[in-house]
Amino acid sequence: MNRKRLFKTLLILAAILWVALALAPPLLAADEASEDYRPFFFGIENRTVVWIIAQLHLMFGAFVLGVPLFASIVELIGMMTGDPRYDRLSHEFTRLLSAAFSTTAALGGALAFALIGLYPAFMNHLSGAFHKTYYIYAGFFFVEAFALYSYYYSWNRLQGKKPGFGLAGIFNLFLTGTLFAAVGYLVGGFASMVIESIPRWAGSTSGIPGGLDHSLKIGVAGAAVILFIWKWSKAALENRKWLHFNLGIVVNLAGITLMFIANSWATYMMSPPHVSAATGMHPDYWSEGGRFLGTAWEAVNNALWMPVNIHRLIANVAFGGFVVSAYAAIKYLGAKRFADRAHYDWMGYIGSFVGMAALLPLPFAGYYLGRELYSYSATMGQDMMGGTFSWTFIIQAILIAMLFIGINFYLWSGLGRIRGSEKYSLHILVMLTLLVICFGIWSTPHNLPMSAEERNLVGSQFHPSLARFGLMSAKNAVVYFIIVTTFFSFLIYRRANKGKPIPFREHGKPAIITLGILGAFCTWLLLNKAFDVWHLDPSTINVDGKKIIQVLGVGMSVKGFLDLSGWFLVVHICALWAGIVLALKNKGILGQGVIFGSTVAIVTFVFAWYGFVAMKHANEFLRDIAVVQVFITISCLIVVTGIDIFLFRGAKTIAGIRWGKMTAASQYALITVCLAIVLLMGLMGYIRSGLRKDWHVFSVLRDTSASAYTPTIFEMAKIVGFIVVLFLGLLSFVFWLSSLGEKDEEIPDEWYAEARDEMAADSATVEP
Amino acid sequence: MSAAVVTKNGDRLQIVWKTAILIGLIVSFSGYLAGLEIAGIAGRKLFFSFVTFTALSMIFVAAFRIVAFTLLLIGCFVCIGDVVTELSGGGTVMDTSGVSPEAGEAIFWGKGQCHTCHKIGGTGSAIRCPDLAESDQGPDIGIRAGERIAGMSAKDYLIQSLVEPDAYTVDGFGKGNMPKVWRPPIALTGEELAAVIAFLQSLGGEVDIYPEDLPPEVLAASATPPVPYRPPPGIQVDPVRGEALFHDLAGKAGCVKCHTAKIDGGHEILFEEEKGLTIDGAAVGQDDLAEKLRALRAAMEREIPLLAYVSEDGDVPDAERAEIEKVLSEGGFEPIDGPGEERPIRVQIVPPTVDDEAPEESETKPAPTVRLNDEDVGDMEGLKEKLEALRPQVAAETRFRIYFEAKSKIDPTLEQKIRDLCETYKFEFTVMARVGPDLTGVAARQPWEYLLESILDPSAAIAAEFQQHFVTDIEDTDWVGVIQKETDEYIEIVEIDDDGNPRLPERILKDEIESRAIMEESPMPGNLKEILQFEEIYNILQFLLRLK
Repeated sequence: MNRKRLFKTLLILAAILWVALALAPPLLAADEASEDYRPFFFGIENRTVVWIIAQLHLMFGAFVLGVPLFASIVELIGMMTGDPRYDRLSHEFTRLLSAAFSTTAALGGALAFALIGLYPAFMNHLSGAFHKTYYIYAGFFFVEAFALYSYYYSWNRLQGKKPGFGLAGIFNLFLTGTLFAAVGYLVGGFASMVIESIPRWAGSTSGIPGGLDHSLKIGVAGAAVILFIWKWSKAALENRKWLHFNLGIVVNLAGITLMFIANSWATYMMSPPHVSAATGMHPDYWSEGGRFLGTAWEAVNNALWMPVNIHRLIANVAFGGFVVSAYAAIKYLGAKRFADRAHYDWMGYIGSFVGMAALLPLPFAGYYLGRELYSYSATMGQDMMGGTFSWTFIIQAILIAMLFIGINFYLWSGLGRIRGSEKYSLHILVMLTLLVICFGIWSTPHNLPMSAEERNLVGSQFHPSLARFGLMSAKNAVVYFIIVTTFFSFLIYRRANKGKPIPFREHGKPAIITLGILGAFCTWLLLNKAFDVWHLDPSTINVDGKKIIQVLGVGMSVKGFLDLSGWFLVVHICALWAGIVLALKNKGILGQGVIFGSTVAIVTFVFAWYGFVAMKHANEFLRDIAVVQVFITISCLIVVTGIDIFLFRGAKTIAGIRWGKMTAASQYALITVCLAIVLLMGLMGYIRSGLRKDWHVFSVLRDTSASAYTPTIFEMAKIVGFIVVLFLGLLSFVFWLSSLGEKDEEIPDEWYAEARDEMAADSATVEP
Repeated sequence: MSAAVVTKNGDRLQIVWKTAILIGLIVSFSGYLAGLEIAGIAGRKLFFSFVTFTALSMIFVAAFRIVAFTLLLIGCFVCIGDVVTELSGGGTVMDTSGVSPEAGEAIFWGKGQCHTCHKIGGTGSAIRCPDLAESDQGPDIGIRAGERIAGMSAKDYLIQSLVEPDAYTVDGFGKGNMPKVWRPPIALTGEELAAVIAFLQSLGGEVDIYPEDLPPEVLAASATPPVPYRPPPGIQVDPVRGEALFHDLAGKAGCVKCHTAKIDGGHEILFEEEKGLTIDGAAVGQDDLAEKLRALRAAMEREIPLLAYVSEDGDVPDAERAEIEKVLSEGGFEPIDGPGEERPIRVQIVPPTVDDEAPEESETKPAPTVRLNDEDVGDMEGLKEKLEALRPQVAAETRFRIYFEAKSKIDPTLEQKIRDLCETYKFEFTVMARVGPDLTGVAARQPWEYLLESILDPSAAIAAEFQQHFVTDIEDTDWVGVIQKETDEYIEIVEIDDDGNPRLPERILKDEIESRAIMEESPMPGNLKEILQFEEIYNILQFLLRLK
């Protein structure tokens, strides 16, 4: 034990030293500062070296960020349900973090070394803009390290309650109070945003007064703290598990901050502030030699910073969940005892559930990122979707198909362990067929590769009907359909072993209030967008709003046609409220059906057609249409989930879940899903970085090295494949390392006694 | 029971896996042998892929099943990458150098990213911006460009479309869609822009574009992004010496014979006294040589540095060399050896006083010339005094050359005053024709590689304005030189003499011209890399790089 701790301490010290040296570029760059590039060993390209290390660092970074997020979520569920399995699961994965954290830090150090050594001029430029963030980064690194080790090593000590005023209790009081204040501040900010939007609906341009905005934020934060002290301060003083959970929150906050800081460096390279294709570098912010003259915050807060932050944060939760489920799948396939098999089956389910919950909103975040990228530089956007990188999105579609079909397949396989789920066989067949069709459409390129003979036969470069599938309107329509279908699969899984729902009114006021709040929020979201559309000046998207066009044989102005999309939002608001009212009238399933129907009808079918018409008459409006589709789909997920939470609460369970009764194929599906997300990270890393073409810092600092070209997709596939093999190998090593220490106790048989009994009953039925 | 289910499923998976491998091996091997392509991939590649997978399947036993499965998926990912690369044509690289429709086509589909918004008939798929082939939007772009705006030629329209895309947009296509491709991030160079225009002109029209047709600000801004300049290791580069070489009319480079260049602005007039300061072999031994040298010394003491050098083509006997050195020594000059034994001797005389007092500076001073700036010229009294002082000390037949800073248009009144002054003091006056580009600000327009190439291989790239013409008139008289002026009736051609000095312009009536052709050789001597030492070349380059 002591030896292990010594080893870990040494590893951490080495990592800290490495990072500390890495954060002092002038120290290392001073003697050869005149060179822009230096060669690596053995003629290996500089770019390849940095690519491999950076991607590995990113993957391990995602692991040490995604897994604590997962662990905290699971720990919270364990605290709320009292189920000891959640606590064990959370602990098991936190143990993996200690070794993974050191590896991540070591890779970070290696990356900094490689960049300083191989790209001194670039690092000099970057440090000029960002050196202040280095010190903040180092500070948060310490915070995360200390919080993580405190979180892990205090696991057993901080359990249960301890009456009285202890130091731990006061610390918890402070931590929780701070968290309440922060959450209250954000809620206040949101409230001020809502208030601000309402005058805008009437066409007013005057925003909310700054004083009111500030007062709202501070007021709600203060109210949250008072509420906490009034209702929960005593519990916070005594509840040690609560303190432990809060330590996990600190780990996550520090980790997220570290990721945000590192993201700012990467996004600055893509979207340096105050640079545009039209006007070049703004002289107030850039010197003639291309040195950034603005503040560190201006460099950090660049156009793509927040979109990438949001995308990566959600993706990391998905990544954490799918890594856990793949780990569980491997354990499941090798398990000998029934209780082990049942436990890892359960673990796989929990992991995939968390992963899927994050996966569903991920395309929205991806779209937001893409949209902002396009807004920052149309050149980069066009290159991404229509130029050099457009073919990579065919590969992306294949990988995402693996993800979604894999997770759906797993859910459908999971129905096999639930008695009474046979009634959904037809649903599954229909969904599988639709998903395959959707992915077929998604991965169809607009410009089909055809030989000269084929082209002559078709009479055009484009296939007469398939060419439409290659356009964004068709692709967007199917993407949202895939998301809704996957969500529907999950709903089926949740209710597979449930009997008839109890009357909705029996859930009382909480249900009414919850659905009311969710409905109001979605109404605000959708109505806000509708007013945006109605107030849109067509000239800002370069169209003549008064021009008369024929839509389905009816003549209407372009402006009238654009306004139609706002009315579809209103139709959907009506569908949402109809669904809520039906649920409250004890017809929740019908209510969900209305909302699903409205979503699929508008988002997939209406907007697929609408998009093609818009493309012809107001091409730039497609961006707004996509946002409308996103909002309708999100509101569907929110309200349907709200209804579903209450719908089957308290409903009679037909039979228990037979944990441990899963096919091997379903476990391979989990491994496939994990691999798909890791490969996706590699692919998207190539796209994100490659979009800069031959610029270190887009439009500011040119890459004049020999490896400034864009590698082909094949080269990318080979390197990313190699990185993934390396990552999985290292991750397995880390898993093995962490298994050298203390072993968990055996899974208690009684945890899965019910499942064993159910399966025994099955055997008795099958073999009379 | 459940374990049995798992095992059964696992067995099925193995059977499917092995069957797939077997079929894959047979198909790919057949394709490989027959040299066929399957789904666009060479049978060879497929076969090797399946061999790899077969090898993996050998470890597809229970303990390594997951490893094999993982590697298989990653292998599939790589294969998909291969297939997509082939389908998209991503592996092919086209030559984008030079100004030609072919290079322009490669840029159109590649670096220029034009294809992300434009298509050309059945090629490409973009619809954001107009189709450039014959379509409902009009004929091919090469023809359409000349019909878009009344009075604007196809070339000018295309230049405008690429340089200022929003100046005119086609109905139905809004402003702001097309970026200025000559600015970052696409940042096409002037040559690349011209190549794209050449390609577009070739679509139904006539190709007549040259990079020089583009606006100068575009050429300046779209110049190839600079590769940081690093002098070769091991040499000490000195721009001041480079400047001296540049301005040394009698020196090895003598760039100023044809080029002008200024750093600090203002007119610059260079005086050089030729005759009387040159000592050739025939002059050695003449009685008046020592007299001449003494006069020179006196002139230099009056702070008018003059050039004197001894030159001889061919071998110079040692006795004569000693005689020269002796005479020079008596005159207070110190001879300096030329660059090599195999070349004619050139002994440059450096003022000893300057040499003694500031030896380092003396080497870097442009000794051979008298340099007068704006103020000197403007102050006619000052110029008059200098000429008066100079007159008695040089031979009567002395001829001054006056170089005007060519880029700026010197005030004609001022020029006339100088002419009159020279006439009064019996100096011959010549306004030299400009036969080389003005290099003022050249470093801001051109990358260092271009400048270096221009020194080493001047014919590699010649500005259109300074191309040499070979002209023959109806009497079979030939001229080789740069056209300084051209009207409807005549041309004025400036020839370069054997010493590299421009002659006075000759006027040739166009009616009398029998033939006229552009030559590929630059008027600039192509042997500078042989004449100049390695270090000297970089000294000149370093000086040019200061001309921003």
